[in-house]
Amino acid sequence: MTDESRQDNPGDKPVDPSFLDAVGNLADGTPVKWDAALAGTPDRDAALRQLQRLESLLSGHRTVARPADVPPVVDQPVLFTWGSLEVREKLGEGTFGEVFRAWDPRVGREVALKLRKPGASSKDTRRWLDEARRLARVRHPNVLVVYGADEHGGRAGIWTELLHGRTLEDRIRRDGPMGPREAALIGTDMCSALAAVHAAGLVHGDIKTTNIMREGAAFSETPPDLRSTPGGRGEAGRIVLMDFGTAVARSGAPGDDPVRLYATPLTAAPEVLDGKSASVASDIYSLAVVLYRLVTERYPIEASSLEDLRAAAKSGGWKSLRDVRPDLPAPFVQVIERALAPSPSHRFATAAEMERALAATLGAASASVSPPARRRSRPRTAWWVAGLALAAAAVILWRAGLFERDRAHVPWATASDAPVECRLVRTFSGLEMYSSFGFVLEMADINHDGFQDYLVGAPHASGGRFYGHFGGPNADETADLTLAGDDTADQFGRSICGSGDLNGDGLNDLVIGEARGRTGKGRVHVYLGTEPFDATPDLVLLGEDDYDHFGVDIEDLDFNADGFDDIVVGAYFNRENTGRAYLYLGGRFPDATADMVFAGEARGDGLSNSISHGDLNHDGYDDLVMGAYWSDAGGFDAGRVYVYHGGPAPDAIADFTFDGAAGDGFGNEASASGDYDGDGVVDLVVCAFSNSTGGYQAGAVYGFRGGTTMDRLPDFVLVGEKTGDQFGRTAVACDVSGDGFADVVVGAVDQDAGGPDAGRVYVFLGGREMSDAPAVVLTGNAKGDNFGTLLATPDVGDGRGALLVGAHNNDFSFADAGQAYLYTFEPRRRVGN
Amino acid sequence: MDRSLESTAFLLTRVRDGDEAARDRLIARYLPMLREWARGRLPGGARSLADTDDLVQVTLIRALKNLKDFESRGEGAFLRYLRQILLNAMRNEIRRASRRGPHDELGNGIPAVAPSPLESTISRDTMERYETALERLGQEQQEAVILRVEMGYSYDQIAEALGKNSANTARMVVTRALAHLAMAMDG
Repeated sequence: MTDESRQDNPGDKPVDPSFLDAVGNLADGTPVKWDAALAGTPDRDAALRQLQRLESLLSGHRTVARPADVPPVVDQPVLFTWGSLEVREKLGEGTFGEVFRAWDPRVGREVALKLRKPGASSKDTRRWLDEARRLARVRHPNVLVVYGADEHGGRAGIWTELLHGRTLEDRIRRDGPMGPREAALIGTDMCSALAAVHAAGLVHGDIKTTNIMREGAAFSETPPDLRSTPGGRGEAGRIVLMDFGTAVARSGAPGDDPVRLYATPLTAAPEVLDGKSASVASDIYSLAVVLYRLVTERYPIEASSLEDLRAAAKSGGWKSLRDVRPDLPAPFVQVIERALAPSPSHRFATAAEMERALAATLGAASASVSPPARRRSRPRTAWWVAGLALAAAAVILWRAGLFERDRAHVPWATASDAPVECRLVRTFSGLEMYSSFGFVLEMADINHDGFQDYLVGAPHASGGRFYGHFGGPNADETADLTLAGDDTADQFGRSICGSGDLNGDGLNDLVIGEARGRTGKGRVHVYLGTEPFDATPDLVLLGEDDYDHFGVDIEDLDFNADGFDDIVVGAYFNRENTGRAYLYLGGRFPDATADMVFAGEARGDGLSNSISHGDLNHDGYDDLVMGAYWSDAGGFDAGRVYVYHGGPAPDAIADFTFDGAAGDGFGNEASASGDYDGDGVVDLVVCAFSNSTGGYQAGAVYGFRGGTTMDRLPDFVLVGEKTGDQFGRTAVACDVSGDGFADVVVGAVDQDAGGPDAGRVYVFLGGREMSDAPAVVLTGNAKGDNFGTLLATPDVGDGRGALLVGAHNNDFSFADAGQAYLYTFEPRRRVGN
Repeated sequence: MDRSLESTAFLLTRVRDGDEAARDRLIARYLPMLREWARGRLPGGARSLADTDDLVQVTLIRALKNLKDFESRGEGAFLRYLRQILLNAMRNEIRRASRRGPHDELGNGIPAVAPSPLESTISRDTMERYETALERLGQEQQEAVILRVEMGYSYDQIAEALGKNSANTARMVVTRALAHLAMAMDG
């Protein structure tokens, strides 16, 4: 080594021994004796600063990657970790648990973490977690955002957005009673929030002024007519319903549990005081108490004992609002008093009904101010939540069912009562180390013999490779056609499309993408169908810019309805990851000039990360569906899906969009190739692989019914089993079971049942009602396989449906060489048949 | 097996002579480590895991194809070389994947993006000071710091990578290197 020869090498300078000891401790990860370390240093402040910087550097790196041989980090400003959350500060403690400020290093944000006190029964904990996860599905601007719920180290917890603001109780204590208008505005927000909570199958159970926060500025700075804005998270003044510590499932059978009063007595409805379960009606009553208190600073019933309170509440013995505050407008008083009716049946039937009544008072509450405009996004939000609620029960049942199946731990399994049987019929193996064989899959008849061929990409092989395995009665596991990128290729085989006929000669053409050439530009190679196959591409399509991943996905469809298939090529890194896609029209003599360009909306959106097609609006023409999974339209990294209607004069302007919620990555994959409800119209299946409903990045898959009146209400939501599963990294709708309904096949490449990141595939049978439980579950063979890229066909050529699944990091042949597996489906034979 | 036949320096010589098996062994040795290293450094949300792995793999394979620029001196030096190439590749990718516009530039002209897991725990100021200070250390000290701080090597592993005779010696090298790093970061 010649490092000591440098003139300015600071390594030559002498170092104080006590300072060196402290550095040694930091390097080892053992506690530093600060006083001793600083005692002998000439410049105490400088030494302290240097050691602190070094400590932050070391602990930061250890937090990010903590290999087994590095000792646990001590002396860092993290109280403890819970899962991957770093708990930094205790914020409070209640009967049921403690609340902490924590840091989520995976997404780089502060969160509030509520941990249950240890000691709850496992049944109790599981139910609590289920309810917390259900709550996580409630996405509403006026409801606390729940990021997830889990159990670590024997403690169940829920983590949510960290709010900065004041409670309504603080507000009235500081500034006195509110005017009726301000209260009515808060009331409409709360009704809207409650409607969403109720639609999710939950009741809050403890609505009170200390559980509602106004985010942002101090109240004295808040103009009286400032209202919270929908979706305006982070804007000053947002009203947020929080503390769901007592929230319970609405559907819980009454009388199951010994009656316990969790709610605060002064705001509880009479029937709750009597020991009945909280309900929609009791939430409405409690909200009325809140509004009463906001305008009077008093409770409607003030009693010195629970018995007195019960008696007064039952008889409706509250002080009339008009008596306490004669200046209040009559309509406002009527709304509050109706909601305070002792009998639940005399109150508003729903929170939405109360909201309408409150909104109607706003004109009366302040004649000089016109009623606020109806909120643009709320009806949609409400529908969305309602849709999720419909699915919630099914999702939870499904997860419970799956849990049982986990224990069997077999490589693949078909539910014993499923009407189909799934068989592994062929295994294709990668032939090169790290080649990622199986990362890309396609089924198409490229040798034109009437049988589907199995096409597999190995984009990380040297230069990238494509393997074609011909199907039919003589099929085997050896590739019949191998294509490699030329000398300048890189990631050849990153996308494959083989079912289109671009030049209308009746023969399928093969299109292979190479997302990145060695020069940086992506290319797409088009091999027009010939007999025998000619391995020289007829066309090479070239990307616009270097490193824009042109060719990352390809789709064929007849977008302009001229009888020739067209191809769409994605470049999701184009224009600083805005993303673009290019349409090349087919014709007698197709050319390499793009005929239409679809552009992403904003930098970072990544439009065209997924491309699919199907006739979603049922007009007889193929529509194009593209995902932009990092779009921020619905919240940071929420993701957006665009539908472009095809027809004789199509354009590149989206006709319909769907948005995910923050962090969902909605649209990482979409499939518009099947009709799962059997109504004759293609439906849309959209993946949100980083959705955290079932745990951080457990993933979710949504189904939307296609048709002329397509809406954004999901028909079903399927949720991944566990944190990190990425359920929905891939999905396809296809009738593999042959019952006339498209089945939804979902891949979770990072699922851990077969070993860490072994991966899993689930087949849900379609039907008039989407099946609750997967009929077939396939599990990756070994850790790190990432089993779960997939493709399906309803008919391989002999009437059987088939599924091709890739495990691109499987080590069977060589490290990360990859494998692909072919499964066929048949109706289950009854015993004795 | 003769351990010297498996040493990084020996394998690198073989790779330069066109030995594919040696190349595969080096890839198998460094790919998982570099993947882990890169995952903490790419911005959250901007890229999928597959893309990170993709980038690491392509970079490693390219580095092995351009070995003529690299004078092999052992594992520590090779890791430092790989780290630099990967860092450059990631900066390019981050620049391309930028989602927040050209404001808030880092010292290296990297536009701000969603923070990487590492950026979430270490301030940008500290990271910049670290990179600058690292440059000022001698080669062996740079290697010692990278192996311990970034790769999380044990002292045994560092002794092997740097050709020291014991873990204790390696610990002394690391400690001295870190002390000088801390002082240089303050400078």
